Amino acid sequence: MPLLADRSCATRFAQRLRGEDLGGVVSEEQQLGDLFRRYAPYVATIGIRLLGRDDELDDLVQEVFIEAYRGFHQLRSPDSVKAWLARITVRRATRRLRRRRLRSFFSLEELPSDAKLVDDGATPEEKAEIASTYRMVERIPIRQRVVWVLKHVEGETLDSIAAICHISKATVQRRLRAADRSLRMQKERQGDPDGRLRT
Amino acid sequence: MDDFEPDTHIVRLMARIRPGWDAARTESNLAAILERLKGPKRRQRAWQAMLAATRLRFHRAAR
Repeated sequence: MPLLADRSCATRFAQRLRGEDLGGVVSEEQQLGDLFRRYAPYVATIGIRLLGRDDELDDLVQEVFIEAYRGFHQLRSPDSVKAWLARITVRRATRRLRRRRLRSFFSLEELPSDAKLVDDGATPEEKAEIASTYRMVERIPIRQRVVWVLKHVEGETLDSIAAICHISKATVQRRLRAADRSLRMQKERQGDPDGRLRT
Repeated sequence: MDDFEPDTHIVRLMARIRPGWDAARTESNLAAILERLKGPKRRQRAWQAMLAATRLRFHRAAR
């Protein structure tokens, strides 16, 4: 999914935050509402694929837009609002994943529930298989997982991943290789010849 | 990257993970964001909590 620009919405929002006169037609709340309605599904999709659970998603999306609202003046170009939101989402989700990993290390947190990962259209077998896949992805280190999800599931380019994660392109490639190797090893360990996962 | 192509089966399954995000959820989250933005900031909330705790301690000590 390429990072599309939405200049009109972001530009108006930036103008409003800079105190420029917009003729009193739209309020700041309306501007935030416009931005939120347009980009919340995108942020939520990245969020759930990184977090792998629905119960933390509302908090994550709210945190992302609050940070975006407070830091909008740092945005150099309104064209890059989508990439900028993705960057905040990745940073916030990574923080949550680290916290979760720490809590699970001390057995303070249960394993994520997989009931709400997919829509209701999926069969119970599909749901179980998707949950099993996510558990496999969850075993790879957080940094590698973030890069892997952005590249292969979200379809981002290497350049945009490098920009989103604040790392070099070479690091992106290295993490991708490591993640793929790790997933392949896990699959081999499961010993499934036709590539299907055991649930 | 060409030497490490991803497992398409895993990618396909991961792509099916989607949030149950509808208009109602958008509006409720937007309302929550506006409330959080209008409400006191974290530092102010912490300061108010500390004042309340100090008052409580003072009243208990006075009794």
